[in-house]
Amino acid sequence: MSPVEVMLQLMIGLSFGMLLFLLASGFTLTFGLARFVNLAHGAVFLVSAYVATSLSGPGWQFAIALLAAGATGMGLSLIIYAIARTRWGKLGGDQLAQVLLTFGLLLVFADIARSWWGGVPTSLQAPAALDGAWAIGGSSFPMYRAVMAAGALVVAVALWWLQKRTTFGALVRAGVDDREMLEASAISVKPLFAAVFAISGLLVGLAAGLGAPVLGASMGQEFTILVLAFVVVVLGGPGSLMGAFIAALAVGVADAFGKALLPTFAEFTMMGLVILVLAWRPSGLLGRSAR
Amino acid sequence: MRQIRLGAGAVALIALVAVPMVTDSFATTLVTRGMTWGLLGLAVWFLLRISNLPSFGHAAFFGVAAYSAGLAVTEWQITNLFVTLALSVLLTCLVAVPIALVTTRLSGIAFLLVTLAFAEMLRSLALRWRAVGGSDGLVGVTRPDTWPLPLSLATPSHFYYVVLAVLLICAVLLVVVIGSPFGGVLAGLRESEPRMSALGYNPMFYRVAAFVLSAALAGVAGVMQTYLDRFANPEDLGALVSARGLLIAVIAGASLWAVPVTAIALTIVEDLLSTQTTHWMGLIGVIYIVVSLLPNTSTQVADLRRLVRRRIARRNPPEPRVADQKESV
Amino acid sequence: MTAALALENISKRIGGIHINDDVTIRMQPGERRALIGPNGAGKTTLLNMAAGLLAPTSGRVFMSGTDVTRLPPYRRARRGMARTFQITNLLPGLTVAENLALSVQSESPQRANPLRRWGSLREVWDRVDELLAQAKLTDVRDVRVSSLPYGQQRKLEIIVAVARPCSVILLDEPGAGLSSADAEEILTLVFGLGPELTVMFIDHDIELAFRLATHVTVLHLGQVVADGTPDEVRAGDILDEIYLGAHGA
Repeated sequence: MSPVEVMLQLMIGLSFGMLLFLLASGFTLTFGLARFVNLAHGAVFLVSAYVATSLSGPGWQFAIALLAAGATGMGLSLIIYAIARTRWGKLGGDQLAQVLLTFGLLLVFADIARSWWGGVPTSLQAPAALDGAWAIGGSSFPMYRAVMAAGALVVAVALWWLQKRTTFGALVRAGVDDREMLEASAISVKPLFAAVFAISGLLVGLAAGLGAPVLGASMGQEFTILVLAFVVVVLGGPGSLMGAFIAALAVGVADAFGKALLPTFAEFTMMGLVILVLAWRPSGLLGRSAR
Repeated sequence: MRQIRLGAGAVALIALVAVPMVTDSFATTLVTRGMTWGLLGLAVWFLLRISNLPSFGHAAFFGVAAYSAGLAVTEWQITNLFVTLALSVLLTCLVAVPIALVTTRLSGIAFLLVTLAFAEMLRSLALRWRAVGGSDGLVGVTRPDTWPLPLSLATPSHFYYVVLAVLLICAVLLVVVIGSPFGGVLAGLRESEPRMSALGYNPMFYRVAAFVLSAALAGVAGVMQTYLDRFANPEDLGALVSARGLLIAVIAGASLWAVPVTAIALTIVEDLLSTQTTHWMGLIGVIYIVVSLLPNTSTQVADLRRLVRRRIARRNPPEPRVADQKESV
Repeated sequence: MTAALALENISKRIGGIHINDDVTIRMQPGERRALIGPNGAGKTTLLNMAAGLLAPTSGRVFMSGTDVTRLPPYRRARRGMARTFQITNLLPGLTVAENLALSVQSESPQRANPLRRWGSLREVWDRVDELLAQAKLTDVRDVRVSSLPYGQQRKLEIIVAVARPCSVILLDEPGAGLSSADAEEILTLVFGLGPELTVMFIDHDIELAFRLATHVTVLHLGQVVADGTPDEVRAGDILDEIYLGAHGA
């Protein structure tokens, strides 16, 4: 691999990593605060991506598609929360039941997407102004990927600001650190949880919309995307946004180099990364003790 | 209570033996499929109920064995069932050991996510690896011979009885393991790792051993599935397979013998759904949702005393059992 | 004479805070050493480092002259180290007899045989019954530990710890939550196990500790501030200083 190619793969990996961060942060937020494991995350991504691509159009209609994807994600995530709420007494403390519930919802959402959009892959047209490519050495780097990374970075910064600088963020952080304390205090957790689910869905939806010009929408994404998000969450340490950020970039880069160097066995780079990190730190990069 | 259980077991066993005699080959094959899912369910159940490790990745072992059982026939020219079974289970264990070494360091939910991630990575691998058929799957698998048994696996009823026998052997093996000193150590680790560690037991070793045993069982299921379908494909490594194993283990609760029953019932329900509507995937999703919302389905642990204590306690004259009245499972 | 258990220059820092600072304790075989000091003195942390549950930031742990600093708890247990926990740490879902059996069989070659019936390890269960009879716990033999009264749980915790071959035993507040008489009964039970047994115990009951221990180590803010026989330690006024806060600024 020439230095230019290394550079290119690095950029591709980092831009994908940024997208993964949005996905994983949504997952890690609901997990960290509400101790809720949401496997339906993958299907939320899928449906949001289909919504975005179905609104594909010339010029700045892209913005509408992006917003619609975000809204879809938020809506679906709130539906999941509403269903879970009907039996929160059981589901709140039983993660295995959460897994079954959200896996069931994943299948239902995926089935709805399949019948609605016919199960064929679709893609979203990026605005022409952002659709060029930069020549780097002998290769070219699609301009939209940089836009995608920048968009994800903006969302990530907004999320950071929300967490660190607002009362809402302080409550979330307090809840992640000590949920019993939060529940024992006078603060009502229901609206807080609902807000976190909404934000989580928004993040996934935006990731699907931003990623749509690159990844498109296709059946099976509900699993492929989900797994990458899990890897990020587990490597970063469940509940840790900073950990998720570092892990997302690492996973993005590992994915890019894996696909470039060993097209058939790309997964081995990912598995290798998981094995190395977890053998070194079982609780994840920035996680608290795992047991 | 014990008589009722024994009676129910006897009825279930007679019913299972009678299936090929009283039904057509379609129903026989359907129940055969249910029993292979029962094997997978046993594998997941064991890890969940004895070691409290919820695996969402047993498709990895199911699929690896499914592929190696297929390759054994199509590529490696092995024609005997018992040889392919042994070889496939061995390969499964080889794949399981590194995964076990990493995942058993994790607790509940991280364990679940990482096992799922490993299985999905293997699925993507199978999808792209042309040598094993890529996305087309592995075709042209024929059912092997059963030397030294005078059976022909091409006959649905013969195949059925072989799977039934394998299922029973595996279930009995698990009962033996759970009721052994090893089973006691596993139950102890489930209850408190620092305590067992302070008593000189290496927690890692026992958890990995339990994991690999469970993976081997899932491998047996995968082998049977390949020969049943004469086909292996990347979806054998997919999340749906893992999820089904977990679902069966959850519905079955704390009882080992409920696992195959649940698996067969679930298979029949799924078959009914898939013939009625094209939305079977969504309807299966609804099954998961309903099960998850039922009270008290997922957190019980298997009570090894039910399997062991009777024998331990019988050596002493019965004493008042203060704690036990309300929890006869 | 080689120390049965030696903690050499042990320090532990967590996030810049010194939990333990350069602690050295050498215990001869047969010694019964009380580890005392006010809350936050670093007693339990020190015990956990001796047992291998925590790694020291610096310093070493020796058992009979062998460096065990890097050995995990189960390897130290196999070398003869037993311990109890401050908060009762038994196997709540298992019965009293099963808890004890897992300790009794832990050195047996059959300890993890996957194909033999657990109930068929006759020598294990006979030993279990013998120990239960000695401890007057036969009545609750087949009771789940989670439904056992607290006092009996504390007692069982000790018996489980010492039911396996051990030469060094670490007791973290064996009498926590018990009356003084019950606490004494438990300590006497351990000390009665043999003259060669080396015991380190943490106790908040200073009077009891001074009465039963052969040696006393006083920890304060992570450091050893007094070390010696009960009489020697009592002779200094260090105890008044740290417990009554008399040592001013």
